[in-house]
Amino acid sequence: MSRLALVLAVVLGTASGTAQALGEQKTTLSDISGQLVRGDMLCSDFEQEKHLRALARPLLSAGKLIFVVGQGVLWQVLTPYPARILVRSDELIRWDEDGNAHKSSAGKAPIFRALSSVFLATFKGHFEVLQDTFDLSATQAEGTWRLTLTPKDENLAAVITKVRVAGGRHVEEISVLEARGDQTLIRLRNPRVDGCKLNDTEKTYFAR
Amino acid sequence: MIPKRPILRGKAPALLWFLFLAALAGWLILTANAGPMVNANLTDLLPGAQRDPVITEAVGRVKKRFERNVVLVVESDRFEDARLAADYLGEQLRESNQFRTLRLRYDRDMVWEAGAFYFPMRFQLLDHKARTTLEAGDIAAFERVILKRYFGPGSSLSSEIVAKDPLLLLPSYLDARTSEAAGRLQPENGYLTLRAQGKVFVVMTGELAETPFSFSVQERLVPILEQVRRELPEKFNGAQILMAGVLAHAIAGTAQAFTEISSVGLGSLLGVFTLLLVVFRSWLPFGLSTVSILCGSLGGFAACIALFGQVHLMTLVFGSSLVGISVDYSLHFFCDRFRSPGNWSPKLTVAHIFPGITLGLVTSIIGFSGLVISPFPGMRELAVFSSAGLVVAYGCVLCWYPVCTQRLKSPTVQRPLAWTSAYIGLWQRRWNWPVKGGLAVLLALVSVGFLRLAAEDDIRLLQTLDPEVVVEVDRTRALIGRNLASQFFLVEGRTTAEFLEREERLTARLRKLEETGEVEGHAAISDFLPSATRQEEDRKLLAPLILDENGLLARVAKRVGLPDNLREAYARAYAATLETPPVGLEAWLAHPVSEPYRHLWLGQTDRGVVGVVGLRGVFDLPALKAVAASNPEIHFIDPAGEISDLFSDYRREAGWLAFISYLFVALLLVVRYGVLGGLAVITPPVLAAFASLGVLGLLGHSISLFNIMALLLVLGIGVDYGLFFRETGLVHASTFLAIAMSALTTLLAFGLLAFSRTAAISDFGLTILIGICVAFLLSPMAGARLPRSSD
Repeated sequence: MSRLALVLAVVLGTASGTAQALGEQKTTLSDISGQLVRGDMLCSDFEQEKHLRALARPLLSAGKLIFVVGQGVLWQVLTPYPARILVRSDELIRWDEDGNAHKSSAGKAPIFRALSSVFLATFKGHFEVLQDTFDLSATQAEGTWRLTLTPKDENLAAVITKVRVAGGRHVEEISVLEARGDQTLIRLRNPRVDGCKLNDTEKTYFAR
Repeated sequence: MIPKRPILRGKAPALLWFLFLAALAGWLILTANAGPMVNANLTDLLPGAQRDPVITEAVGRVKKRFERNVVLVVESDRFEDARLAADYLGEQLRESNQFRTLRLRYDRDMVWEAGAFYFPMRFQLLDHKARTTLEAGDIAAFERVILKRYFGPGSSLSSEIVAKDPLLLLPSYLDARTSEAAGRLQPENGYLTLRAQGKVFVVMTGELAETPFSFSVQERLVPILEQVRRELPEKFNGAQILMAGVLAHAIAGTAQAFTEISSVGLGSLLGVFTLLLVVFRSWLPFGLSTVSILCGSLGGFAACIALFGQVHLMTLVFGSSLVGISVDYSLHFFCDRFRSPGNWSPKLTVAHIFPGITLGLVTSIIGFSGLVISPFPGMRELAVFSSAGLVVAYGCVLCWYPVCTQRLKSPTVQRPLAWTSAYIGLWQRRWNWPVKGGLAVLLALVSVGFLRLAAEDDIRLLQTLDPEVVVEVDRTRALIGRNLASQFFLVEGRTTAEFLEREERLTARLRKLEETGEVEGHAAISDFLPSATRQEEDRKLLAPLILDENGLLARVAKRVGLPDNLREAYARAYAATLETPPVGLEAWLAHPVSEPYRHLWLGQTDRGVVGVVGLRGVFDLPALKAVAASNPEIHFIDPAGEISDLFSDYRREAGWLAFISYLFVALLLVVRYGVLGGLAVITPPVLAAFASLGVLGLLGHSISLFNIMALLLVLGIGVDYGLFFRETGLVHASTFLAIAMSALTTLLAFGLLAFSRTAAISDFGLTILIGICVAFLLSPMAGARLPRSSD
């Protein structure tokens, strides 16, 4: 069963490689940042697929996220088990069953650290931040850009092989390929800058 | 060696005295090779709390470890700069050879280490919350937590973990550990790194080979640290060093002590020199006084080495200034020349002043002997140093002065004498208005001040932490999350197993206090290695969840899609661990995973083993004391509080001591001079003592042990003034001149201490400043009923 996930991962990997060979062109980071819609906040729904080789099927979850420049990303899983996490550039806050917040270094979850810096970088168009940690390569085809990030740090590379980010006016898809073959795919649905506001509860989460 | 009779013929006594001091110096030089004789650790001056020797020894080990700990952080905008700067700093520090260990690189990931150690234990390692949930039988809640980990955001799930630990027991335990402990540091490329406030911090930890108060440590490290601090911003794009640990304070403290010593020392030296030169118009009085003070200090030093094996830096400083009282003896010798300028001879002078300075010496030693019984090792040293120093200085005056001043001409300057004569004149016409008025004002002020006096026994009296250093150390500690309180628990056990069990009982009580807010958190070994009993209990709790046909494992496996073979393998692994014994403390201590927490383990004692439970954010001391009170094997240690308590105890004790000293000296004086005469001599210092307390009250200062100590000195010196009046038989203006000069030199020596930044020292100086001024102004009272001399 786990072989299926592995095959899937490999196929996914080669698929994008083929796509590049077929028609995509190299592009520059400034081109990408030029396409992105800017704002102080981004609201979006998301779907997450976690493909673990050891499991027969992917773990599916969905929820919404809010990104606030300078404040971090609030991920709120709504199904199947409500959970909440706030990722800042250097720390990670988790809320437990009883609603107590637990802070830890973002470094504890390298994947989320990578995700968070990708968000920060793409949303603000500040790719230099990423270049500290990753080697970047970018391609472009028909209004859709793809960014491939390869970790420079040995320790991060031991966990993450590649991070792929794709989008047009917004980031639309992020996939993290782990060194051991597991993969996490996050799709943003209905990302919006206009009309994106924090409600009172969300404000208290960010105030942490 | 002190001559019984002052008037010995010829130069023999001078020569003998010289040989004696030369022998003393020779002995000191020989002893110096045996080891360091001067100690600069301030905490060594404090008394140890009176308790069980095993616990005293354990607290000593905690203190030693704590003070040798050094944390250096390199701060930069970019990781690469921080890393290179840290490499550079590490290299420089290693070359100094002052570190027993210095850790910068972490070759293996600590998370990996933790995984490697704890993985085989995963079935016997429930975190606190999981255990509570399962003990309450709420398996649904436990299941929900596990599934949340599977589906939630930001989980660090991987196939490896899921395949071998589908209930995610290990990740759950490790997460709980790291959120409880300082979990902010992460190795990046092998460097312990922290990203915060938009900066990158690379952390280096080390243990000094010796105490940070050691001169050799500071001598080698301070130049290196200063140099690297200067170079770093330039060489590595603005990288900077932050330092935490006692070393930071020790360096600043020593620097401050040296500044104060040199400014106070130089100030008083210059003042005394000028004074003597102006009054006597000869360098000889200054030269001889300096020589006798130096010889006195040599004697005090030798006495301390003989009795205690070493001398504290502070003893050296204070002691030398106390030996400075011996300037009084010199002054009496030289001022005597003003008494009968025509036919002055050194021999007559010695005969004239001998009774006065001998009594002065005796009363000073009585004053100091109060300090000998003090529990403060520093005070004991000080008393021995000063008493021996005074005896030696006294010997110098008697043996050397007559020989060295043979050819000194009689003085021609009479103006200072005229001034002192005029002041004495005020006292001769008894109860005239300036004296009465002055006394009335003094009494009124003193009474008002007395009512305002309050006691203050805080340990901060002794600390003069440089505010800049405090900011840096606090920032560093906050960054790396090492913000343990100064209070801690010691837990004893006959065996390591018993130690862990007792510690678990303690942490259970601490957790309750943490929930109600009396304390913020704790650091305990059993949180990282549960006792054997607990490991077995945890294993038992899991049995039905893993082994039951339709148990928790089966349900989770179905929900997440765990293949049957993995589920069965997990159940088999569980069954297999039931055969293995629990993991012991020794194994944990030997593994790299324990490295960040090993300081909590103190090891063997005479009756078993002992370890530390550290605390964070202590808000309710009595509540924590109560936890230890019911358990003889648990000890609550509050070093700062103990010192404050001691200060308060000894302030009271020293108060009585001062009272008894005053009484004793008064008795001595009454025996010698009769009731009225004795009272006349003791009254000025008594009034001076009251006046200094009253003025301190008026100024809004509070009273500590150190003010009382100063009062003992005011007694010793103030009585001298009266004695000199009494013993010279008549009220000589020359005696008062000697007293005036003595008071001025004392003020120069001690009054300057009032400007120290250490509260204890400035309290001491201020009390003496006021006391000596009053004792001096009132001193003619001692001779009030004596007829005035004709000169």
